Amino acid sequence: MIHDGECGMDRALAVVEGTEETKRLVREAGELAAGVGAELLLLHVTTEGEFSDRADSLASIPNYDTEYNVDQARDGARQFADDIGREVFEGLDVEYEPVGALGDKERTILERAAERDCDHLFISGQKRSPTGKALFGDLTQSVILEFDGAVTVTTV
Amino acid sequence: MIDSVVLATDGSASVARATAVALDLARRFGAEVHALYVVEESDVAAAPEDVRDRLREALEADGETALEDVREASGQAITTAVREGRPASEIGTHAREHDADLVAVGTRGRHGEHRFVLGSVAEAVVRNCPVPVLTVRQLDAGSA
Repeated sequence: MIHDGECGMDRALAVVEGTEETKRLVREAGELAAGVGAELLLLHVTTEGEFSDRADSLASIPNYDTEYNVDQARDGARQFADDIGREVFEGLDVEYEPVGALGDKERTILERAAERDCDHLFISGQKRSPTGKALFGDLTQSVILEFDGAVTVTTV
Repeated sequence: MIDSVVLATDGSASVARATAVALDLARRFGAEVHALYVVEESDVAAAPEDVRDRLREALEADGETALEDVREASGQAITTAVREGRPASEIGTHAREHDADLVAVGTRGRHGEHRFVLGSVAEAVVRNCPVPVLTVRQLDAGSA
């Protein structure tokens, strides 16, 4: 994704996770994107592990008949991204497109960004270990080093 | 809303791309731009005592050049500063002093970290900066 005279942002993609930090990230992405008239994608990726855990849990519920398959997983992920967007942007004039996906996070983020011609990613930099210690996300580092465009990282 | 952007330059190629993006965003938001070059105190301290002053001057001159590049690229009034210390820490201080909404850094330092590893300054800034950090990776030679 290389163009002459790099510009700040035409189409942004924010990586939505299930953490509190995510809301701050999404708000930042929304403010910036709206400020420059860029399109904004909110992407939530459900991993294979999360998918199979959830499928197992649902399968263990007695009389639970509804199938939980990959389409539902993707749809659930999209719904989650949409829920976050609606909550964060309530009352604000920010347009966004929720996107759901199932797969390896790093690969999926980069693939979706490439498919949709995104030039700016937003990702949270901090994860916390079970003891509360802040860790620098390997996913974040990988994305910074692999993505051709700009990556804005929010922390703390 | 971005009112203030701190752009930390070390004169490297990866900073050039971060600079272009950050300046474009600053322009679009009408934000102030504060460019910063940090002379690494460890570089100076590692030199023999009798050449330290000359080394410091040489590094500061490198810094002025890098800052001038940013000024030219921006085509508008920006502030520039040369600080000496630990880069990530100085960048953080500068961001606080200028009430930055965004800090832009390159991903690879002057010491030529391998492209599979984030430069130590970039990592430290991204890890510790209380405001969002914008990075753009350096493109590999021949892929531009």
